[in-house]
Amino acid sequence: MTPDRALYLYAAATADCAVAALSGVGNEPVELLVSDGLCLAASDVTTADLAAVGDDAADPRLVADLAQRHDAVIRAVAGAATAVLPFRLGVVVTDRAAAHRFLAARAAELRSGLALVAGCDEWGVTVRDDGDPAAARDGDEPGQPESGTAYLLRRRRHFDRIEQRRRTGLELVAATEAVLGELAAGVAPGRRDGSLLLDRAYLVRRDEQPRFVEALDRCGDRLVADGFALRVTGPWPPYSFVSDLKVGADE
Amino acid sequence: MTAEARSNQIRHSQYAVTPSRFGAQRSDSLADILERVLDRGVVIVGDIVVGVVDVELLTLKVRLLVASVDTAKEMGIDWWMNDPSLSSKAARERDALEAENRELRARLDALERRLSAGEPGDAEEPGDAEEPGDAEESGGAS
Repeated sequence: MTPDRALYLYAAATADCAVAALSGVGNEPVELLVSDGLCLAASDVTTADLAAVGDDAADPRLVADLAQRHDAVIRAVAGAATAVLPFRLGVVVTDRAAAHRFLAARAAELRSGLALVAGCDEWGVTVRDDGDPAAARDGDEPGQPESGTAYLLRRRRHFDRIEQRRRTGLELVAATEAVLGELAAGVAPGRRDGSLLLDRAYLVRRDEQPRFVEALDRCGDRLVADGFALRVTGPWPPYSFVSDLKVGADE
Repeated sequence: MTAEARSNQIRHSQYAVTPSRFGAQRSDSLADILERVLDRGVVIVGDIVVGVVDVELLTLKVRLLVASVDTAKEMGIDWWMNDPSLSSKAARERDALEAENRELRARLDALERRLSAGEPGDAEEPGDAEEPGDAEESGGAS
């Protein structure tokens, strides 16, 4: 039932995209299928090879390799087009005719999606609690035997400090969010669990990028002084700003 | 500092650098890439789609891989950090090693030529003076 060969799709982009020779998944050459102002970055794929990546017993390197090739092609397309919409890892269609059918049927959704991210990059921003720098300095253990009252006072100071620090963290994170949110064209939540104080993806216009980066550094300096660590990744293609677009080729 | 950051930004390609000081070394690490391509992006449904990989299963698998990345180094399975095709740092290190290797070979060749020609220790032209006879000799040696 499954064909031996099929077409792997990386991204939809504006048709002004011009990438040099590029190899993708399975080292196959990437081609651009152009139609009516839009294009799809695609490459042939041997379905058995791709299916092997998902096997339980498969080497995790296969997944890593697939993800990196997927990302590398999308970055190249993003660098060469006005706008790009990354596809999810592992999107495969039957053949070129099917891909063109998809482009024609979903041109309107793709265009509005591309318009939203045009001229923008994505930045990943997280804040982690790195531990109270004051805690190590003050020390919680008494140097010598103490009275019951002294013990209770010390315990109270300890909990007061924890509460104070929790508030400081919340305030700093709120300030960071406010500053970055104002400069960004869009914000999306990250996917990490609750271990982080902040996990966001920001969509930033390229002409706002210097100001955004300055703001990041400013926020980072303030956070690090209180033992909170800011971590930035990017710029990325707008991975986090297309997930609402679930499109069928034929409805 | 800011001016420097700005000029860096202009000099480098759009996706090659993280101009912010926070995030410098690991901006394109495998864990970051996996986290981004994991469950985001356009999904196509319909009869043109070939169900090659079970996306749910793949996502689960990638999640496990991402979760293990933090502890991977301790566990000694940090293979991607040393694999030039997977890590830009490893690729840079490989390139640096290859460059150093080439330079050392060149210097060795020059020394051998000098020895076989019976030149004195401090030649006036370091390295790149090549006579036809000498070139043949070093070609035979490599």
